[in-house]
Order: sequence, then C-alpha cells, then structure tokens
Amino acid sequence: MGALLTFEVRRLVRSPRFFIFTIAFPLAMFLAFSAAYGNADPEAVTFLMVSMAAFGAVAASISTGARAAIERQVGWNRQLRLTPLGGGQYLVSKVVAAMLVALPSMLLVYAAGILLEGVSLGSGTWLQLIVFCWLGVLPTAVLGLLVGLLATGDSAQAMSSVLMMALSMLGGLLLPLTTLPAVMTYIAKALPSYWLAEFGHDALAGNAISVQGVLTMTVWVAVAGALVALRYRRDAARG
Amino acid sequence: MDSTDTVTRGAAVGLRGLVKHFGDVHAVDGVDVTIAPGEVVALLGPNGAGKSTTIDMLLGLAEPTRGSVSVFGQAPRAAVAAGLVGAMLQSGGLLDDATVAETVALFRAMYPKPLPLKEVLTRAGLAELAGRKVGALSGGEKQRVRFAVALVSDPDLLVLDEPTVAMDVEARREFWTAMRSYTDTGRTVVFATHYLAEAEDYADRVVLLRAGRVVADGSVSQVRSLAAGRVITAKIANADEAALAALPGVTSVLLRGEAAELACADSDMALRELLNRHPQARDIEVRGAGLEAAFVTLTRQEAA
Repeated sequence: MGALLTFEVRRLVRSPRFFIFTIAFPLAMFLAFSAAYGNADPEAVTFLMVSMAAFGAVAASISTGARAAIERQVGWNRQLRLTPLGGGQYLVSKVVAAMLVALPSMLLVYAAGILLEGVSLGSGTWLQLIVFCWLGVLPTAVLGLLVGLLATGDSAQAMSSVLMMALSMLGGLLLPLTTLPAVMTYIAKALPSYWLAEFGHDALAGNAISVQGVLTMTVWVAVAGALVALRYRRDAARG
Repeated sequence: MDSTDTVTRGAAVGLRGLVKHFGDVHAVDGVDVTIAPGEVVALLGPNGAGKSTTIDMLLGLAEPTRGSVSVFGQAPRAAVAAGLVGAMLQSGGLLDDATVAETVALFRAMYPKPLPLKEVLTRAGLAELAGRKVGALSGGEKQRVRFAVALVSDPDLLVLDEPTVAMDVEARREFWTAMRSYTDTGRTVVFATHYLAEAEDYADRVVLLRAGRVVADGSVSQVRSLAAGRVITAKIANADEAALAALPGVTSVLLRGEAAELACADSDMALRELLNRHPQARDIEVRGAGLEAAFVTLTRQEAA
C-alpha cells in the first residue's frame, strides 16, 4: 500500500494540472484578493489566507480523486485487480494521496502570507491551523474519489470542476457569506468546505474546534465513503 | 519452495461445468477443462467464442453463473492473492504518466516473493526502456511492460489474452522466445490468440471454443487431424482444372498457372493417380491440412 501511495504522489506531483490548480491558482487568488481587499487590514489578510488555503486544498483533493476516472477508463483498475492488492487498500491509498497533495497547496498560501503579506501568528496557532485544516480535507478527498468512480474519463474534469466551484462558492471560500442573504449561511454550514475554512478561522481566534463542524464533516465522510465503497464494488463486479 | 509444492498438488487449472450468462447471451455454456502443471495451452476460437469470458472467470475477475474454477486447488482470487497467477489482459491498462521502472516496481511491491526488478526488466526486454514513460512506448513495447507485470510475482501460471496483438513479426518472435525460456522451467501457460501459427508453434495443447463450448481439445496434431484430409501441391505443366478435380480422392482444386493445390480426402489414392495421369508433375509435396483448416472446419460446424 505504501508503494501505491508513493506511485500515486509521484505521478501527481509531475502532472501539469497539479501545478496549475493546486499550486499556482490558490496562490494567485490569495495575492490578488489581498491586494484588492486587504490593504492596511492584517485581520482581513489573515482571513483571506485561511480561505484561499482552504480553497486550494478543496481544489487539489477533488481534482486528485477525479483522476481515477481516467485510470478506470484505460483498464488500470482491472490490472490492479489481478494483484493481491485489496479494494480497501486501493481506496485508502487514493484518499491519502489526495490529502497529501492538498497539503503543499495550503502550506504555500500560508508561506505567502508570512513572507509577502506579513501575517504573523504564534507557532501554536500555526500548528493548530495546519493540522485542523489538513484533517478537514478528508471529506473532499473522499468526494473527489467518488467523482472519479462515477464519472467517465471524459466527464471527470467537468464534474470535478463543478463540484470544486460549488463547494468553494457555497462554502463561502470565495465570497464572504456576511454580504449574502442569510439562507446562504445555512447552506454553507451543511458543507465540508465551509467547516474546513472555519476550523482555520477558529484556530486564529483561539476558539475550540466546532463540534457542529466535526459532526458535519463526519457525516460527509461516512456518506461519501459508503457510496465510494458501494460504487467500487459495482465497478469490480462488472469486470 | 512453496510455489513448487503448490505445483505438485494436482491440477493447475480446473474448469468444471463453467457457465456464464450475460442476460440472454450465453457467453460460456458449459466448459470443462483440466490443465496439468507445466502444460502450455492455447485457447482458440472466433470472436465471441467465450475466450475472454473464460479467462476472466479463471482470474476471478468475473463470477461464473454456474460451475466452478480452481487454480492450484484454490479459488481464483486466493491464487491471485498468493502471487501464483500472472496475467496479461487486453483490457488491462497501464498509466501513460508513469515510467516503465515505476510501473514494474509498483507491482513488484504487492507480492510476497517477487523477482528482482532487474531480472524482470531483462526478461521482458525492457532493460533499456526502464526510464521511459509508458505513454512514449510503441504498442509492442507496451505489451512487453504488461508481460513484465505478469511475470513480476514469479507466477506458476501465466494467463495471456492475445499477448502479441500489437507486435510486429520480429517482436512477436522475441516475445515467444522469452516465453519459451519461462515455460522451460515447468510453468503453466494458458494463452488466447488469433494467430493460429502461434498456437501451432508454441502450444502443447489446443482448446478450441465455439459459442461458449469446447469443440476440440487435444494436442496440436490431434486437433489438426480433426479436419480430415491432406493437401498435395505440385507443378503440373498443361494441367486442366477439371481433369485434376476428377482424380479419385481429390475434393477440390486450386490451379494458378502450373501450380496446383489439391485438397484431398484420400491423398494416397490421389497421388498415385496424379503420377499415373500426369507423369510430368514435379515439386510434389504432401502435407496435413493446417490448424487453420481444423479451425475453420470445427468452428463452422452447425453454424449454418
């Protein structure tokens, strides 16, 4: 399983999509937004930094999982099924790979915050921020894999882009929810992307991690995980 | 060694009353085949005969509707998990963005007692392509990577579905040479192929499938003899097609200039009369009808 994980991450890091979507895009958005809105307001810059890091993590994890669609199409999974590798090991490797790839996209935005935008936080806060936000990637990593198992090679990119934008917009990562009707906040609170950023904001404010957030995340992981397992079994039975 | 113990314990492959239906389609319709360890068996049949479906069930990729499959006395999945089976499938795919070495190393890591990476690459003729991305390989080279992946667990049974399909003549020859060196060590091989010459040259035994059933099963010469008759070829000056066709024992004639090809039900009788009536005939050859004739005869039967 370790070998499969290494194999996955190596291929991901080499792919051009990885650089565009998970490294360059969130970083560019953070720098652009903070130039536009963050002038002379360090709190706004820090808030943006957390949101853009969350956006990058959502984008990275979903687009990683969605790659499974193309792999299924060329018969890679059939090849893997001729080995002792179990289905569970395969699925876990996929999710962990998506989480690993999401990490640098978050860290890069944080680094830009420190180096270019003068964000300054205590080391405990940084640690909390990184750990909680990173664990918060789990639901979107599973969702990305679900797309990868449902989509065909052709539709995977469209499906993952729609999911990525929906989670980012509705989760309040790209637009502040306070400027929108109250109903949008209700919707956001049902989404894992909202809580991913909220974990970060809580860490900044020194608040304890939100129980509602943890519960919401857990439900997403459980439901999406069950669908992934079901779908994978169907796919295998079809041969 | 564990693997050798397993080989000595009964049949390598046992297919009993194997049936696979896809809705109304009876892809495999009652196949019984037992393969002894060390046999090299060709699975022949026209498209839709049930070769790939049989192979899928043999590998545990598909569940039989009825009947059973055992591989070295175990269920297919268990045999695969133990690294006893290596397979090269047409539908199995490789990833273009990984290198040859990365791909083979990944599969190596999944097995309990794999062959050394270098040995696998060398055996499959990939030593010089190790650093190349799979996407940059030719069709024949990709087939070699699949072969390497099939070999990596040092399996006792190799299952190959149309292994040389994307290869040119030279690559095909090299492939079978590599395969020979593998089978010489007593391994069992089951391969499906469209190239009858490959079955003729490399298989100990041929299993001929038609419409999901076994229509012939035996050594190459046994199956060949099922298509009765032999072929006489000769150069006959001033020959007349009608006169040749009238020779006793001859069933059909093909005449191109001087070159005559006589398909015979009784070649001995035909040859005597041929020399009697056409003493000028020269360059005479008598040979058995090839596997191809048997294939055509057997797979055509009842089709009408």
